[in-house]
Amino acid sequence: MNYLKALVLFLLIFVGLIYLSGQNAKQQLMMTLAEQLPQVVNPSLNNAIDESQELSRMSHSLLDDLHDITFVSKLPGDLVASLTVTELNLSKIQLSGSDTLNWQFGNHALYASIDSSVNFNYWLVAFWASAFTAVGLLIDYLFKFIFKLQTNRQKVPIPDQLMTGKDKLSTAIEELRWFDGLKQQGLIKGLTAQQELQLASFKEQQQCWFSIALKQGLNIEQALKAAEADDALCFDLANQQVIIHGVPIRLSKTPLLYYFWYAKRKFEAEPAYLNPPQGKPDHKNGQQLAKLMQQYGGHQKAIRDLDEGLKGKTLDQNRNKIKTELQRVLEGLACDYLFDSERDERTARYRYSLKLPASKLKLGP
Amino acid sequence: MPRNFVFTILRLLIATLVLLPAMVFLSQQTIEPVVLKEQYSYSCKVKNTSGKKHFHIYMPTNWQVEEFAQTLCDTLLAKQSFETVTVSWQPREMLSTEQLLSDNYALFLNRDYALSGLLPNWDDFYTAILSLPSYQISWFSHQDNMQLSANSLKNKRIGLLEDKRSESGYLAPMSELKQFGHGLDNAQLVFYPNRESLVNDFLAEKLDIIPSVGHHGQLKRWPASKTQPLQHVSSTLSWYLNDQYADLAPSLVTYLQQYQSRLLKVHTTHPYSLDKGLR
Repeated sequence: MNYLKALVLFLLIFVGLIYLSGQNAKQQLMMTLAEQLPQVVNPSLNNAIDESQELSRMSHSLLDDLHDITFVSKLPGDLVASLTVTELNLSKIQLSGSDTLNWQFGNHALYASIDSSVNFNYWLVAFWASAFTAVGLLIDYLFKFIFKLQTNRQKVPIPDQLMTGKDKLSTAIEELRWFDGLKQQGLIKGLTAQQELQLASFKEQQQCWFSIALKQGLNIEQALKAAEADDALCFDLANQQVIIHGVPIRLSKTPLLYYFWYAKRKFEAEPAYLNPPQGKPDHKNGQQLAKLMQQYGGHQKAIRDLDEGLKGKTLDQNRNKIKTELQRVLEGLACDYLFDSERDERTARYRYSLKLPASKLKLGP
Repeated sequence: MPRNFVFTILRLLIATLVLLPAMVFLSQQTIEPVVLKEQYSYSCKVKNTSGKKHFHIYMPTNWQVEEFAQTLCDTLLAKQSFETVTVSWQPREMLSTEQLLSDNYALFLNRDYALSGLLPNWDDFYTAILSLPSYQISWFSHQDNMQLSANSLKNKRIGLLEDKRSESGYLAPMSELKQFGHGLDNAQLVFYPNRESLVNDFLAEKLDIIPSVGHHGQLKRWPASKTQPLQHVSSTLSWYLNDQYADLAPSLVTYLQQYQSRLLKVHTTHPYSLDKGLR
């Protein structure tokens, strides 16, 4: 894609340079001819018996002076090597065409039409086109960067200095829909009209869920479902994942089972669990959790550790792993699916429970 | 895909637009001066020659110059010491003393008084070898029984030649207008760069009166009642040959007689007699 872009830009600039320098050369020629033709043509007509015949004779005779006209450039390298007039037509009758001149001879006008061919220094044009392409790609990269800034943080205003110089670009960005950024990143392709409509109607939070779902590898249809899904946390232990708001998130076995254990407590309406004191692990709950782990294929080491009882430190570590992983995927939306903490006045230890109400929990798919 | 593609193209176009001023600047080249050569001359190479000299001819008309030059190149001057023959027909007003001296014309067609004006001692260098017979200049009009008087010229548009060295188109008619056309307004005079445009405008009735020797088929058949001869009889036009080439005179005279008799047949109205040789 990038090579193709560079090639397109190169061709665009190459053609542009050819066109511009060709036009400039022709314009310069026309200016010279506008000044000189009357000076050489008129005197010959004063003593001419037949104007038209003399004009046609001069049309041929002048061509000899008008081949291999050269140009000098202000910069090193002349894009135009030379210019040759291929056809020159002098006439008393108005001539059509783009490259025509006219001037006065006594009481009537004379006309000239000029056809010319330009010889370019193609290698030089290619060299400059390459140089410009490099600069062009740099500018393009800058635009892309600005554009990303715009889509990733929906409401980030475009900095002032960019507004001034690149009005056109910012206008273009403003006109884009929120999901065009996703298209740009290649995350969505081939939307149906109905899907586009559905996307356009999404609220901000749904947009976030949609983007998250796509980044988690769901297809457009699944992502649309996720965006419209209920606010629920579902455990799919067989596939070693949780499904939050329709978005599957894979977790390591041990944190997943600890997460499940907390969810089960909430589901069964048990109170928030107070971390066991240091050096006094909770054997009862440890055995319960070890059983869960055996049932769902937990790591042997984690199970052995639980034989010594459930430790506050292990609980803290696993809650942190859950938090890190959910935040990585869900960013700001993660906090609703994490833990509430509450300090126990008597023991000065913390008790933890899932934030989500039991009604929004599903322990199996 | 299409939207994505359009966006990419849009970005590329913007990048190109930003680069445009630099591209325009790079494309600016100035033309190396082109000097077009004058067009009022025709040259040809002399046949079968190893000479290096140029045979330069001047005449105040381009009538059949190509054939004229070619005849000199192919037959008259073949095997002589000339390399090229050039015929020029620039306006007589462009002929200057400097040009006369530096161009070193071999042969030219002009009038005594014009030549004297340029170079009083011209006869140290040139000899007249043949003269054109004098011809009649007439006023042509669209009205019958025209008379040249202040009254008849009132509100008439009169066409003349711009060329102030032209006897038939400017000098002779202007002096008659001076004599007879008292109270003539300068705005009545229209000046033309050549005879063709003068006659065309007269035939298109944009002009009421013009002086002419009958340069056009229609003028030659113009009813005599609508013409009025000028009192002035044209002064002699002669061919002057550079004394350096005096040995070429006999062959040149023969050819020039042919040429000028055809010229007069095509371009004058009134009967004339061809003078043979010098007058």
